[in-house]
Amino acid sequence: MSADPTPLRVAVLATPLARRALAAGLAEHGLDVVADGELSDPDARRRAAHADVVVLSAGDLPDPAAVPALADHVGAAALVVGDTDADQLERAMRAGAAGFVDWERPLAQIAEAARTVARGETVVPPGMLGGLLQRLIERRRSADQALARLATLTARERQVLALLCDGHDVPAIARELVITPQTARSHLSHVLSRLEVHSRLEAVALVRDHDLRASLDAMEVTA
Amino acid sequence: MSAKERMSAQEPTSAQEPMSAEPPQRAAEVEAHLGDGVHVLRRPDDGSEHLVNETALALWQLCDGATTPEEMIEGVVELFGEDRERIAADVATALHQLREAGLLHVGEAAVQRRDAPDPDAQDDEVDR
Repeated sequence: MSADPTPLRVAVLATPLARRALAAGLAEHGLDVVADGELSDPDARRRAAHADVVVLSAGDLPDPAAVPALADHVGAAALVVGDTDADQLERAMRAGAAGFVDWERPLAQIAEAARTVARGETVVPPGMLGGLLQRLIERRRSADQALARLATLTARERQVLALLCDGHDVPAIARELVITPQTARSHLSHVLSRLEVHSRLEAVALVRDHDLRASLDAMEVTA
Repeated sequence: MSAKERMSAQEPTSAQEPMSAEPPQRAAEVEAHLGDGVHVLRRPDDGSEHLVNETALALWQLCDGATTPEEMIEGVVELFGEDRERIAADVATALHQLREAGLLHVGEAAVQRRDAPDPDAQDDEVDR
C-alpha cells in the first residue's frame, strides 16, 4: 500500500478491547491514529480534538438528551461503530454522529467510512436509511404534538414548567416567581392537566424527550 | 424477461409534474431485494426490475400511505443537513421516477396501471 502524503487523523474513543482492534486496523488501512482512550475521559477527549474524525463505539455513547451534540462533545466529526440495530443507529445519529458503520464490516470499509465522514458526508449502513428516516419522521410528529400541547399553557404556566424542567421544586418555583407555594402548586396542577400527563416527572419527560426546553423559553418571549 | 432500469434520487428528469402533497403509497406486491449500496425493486406483475440507490430505496420504503413528501424532505434535511431546496427537488425526482416505474400507487392512474399492465408502457420505460 502506498503511503498517503496527508493521512486522515483519527482518534478512537472506546473500551480497551474495541479500541485496540480499531486503532490497529485503521492504522493498517492508512489512517493516522493520533489519540485513543475512553469517551468518558476528558483528557482523551481533549487529545481527540486534534483529529479529523473520532471513531466511537455505539455502546459507549452518552445520552443524547444529556449531551447537546456529539461532535461538540468530542471536538470532531463522529463515526460510530455498532451493531446492525435500528435503536443503536437512531441513538447515534440523534446524538449528532456523522456516520454509523456495522462492527462486522471489514476494517477497510470502516476506514473508508471515516474518510467519507471527514469529507462532510453522512454514512448510514446499507438498507437502513428508510427505517432511520421513518423514526426521525415519527419523532418529529410526536414533537409537533407535544409542542401543540405546550402552546395551550399560559405564559405563567410555561414559566412554572420551565423551572420544573430546570430541577426546581415547588418552594423554589414560588421563590423564583415571587408567588406563594400554594399558587405554584395550582399552576403545576393546571400544567399537568393541560399537558394531559399524570405527574411532574411525566411533564418534564415530555419536554426533555422532545428537546423542547429551548422552545419553552422561545414561546415565553413571543407570548 | 428481466428488464432493469437504474434510478437514483439525484438524477434530474424533464417535464416533471409538480409534486403532490398526498402521502404516496408503495405498491404492496413489489419485492425489495437489498444489496450492498444498490438494491432491486421487482414488479412481479410484469417481471421488471429496477435498480435503486440507498436514497431512492429509503424513499420507497417511506411510501406507506401516511408519510407526506414534505415529511420525507424534512427527515432527509434533518439527517443530512444539506440544502433544503436541492433535497426537495431530489425527493420530487425520486418519487416521480418511482411512480413512473409503477412502484407506487398514487391516484387512479397508478391503480389502473397496476390492474392492467400495458406491455408497450413497459417497453417505453426500459428504453428511457
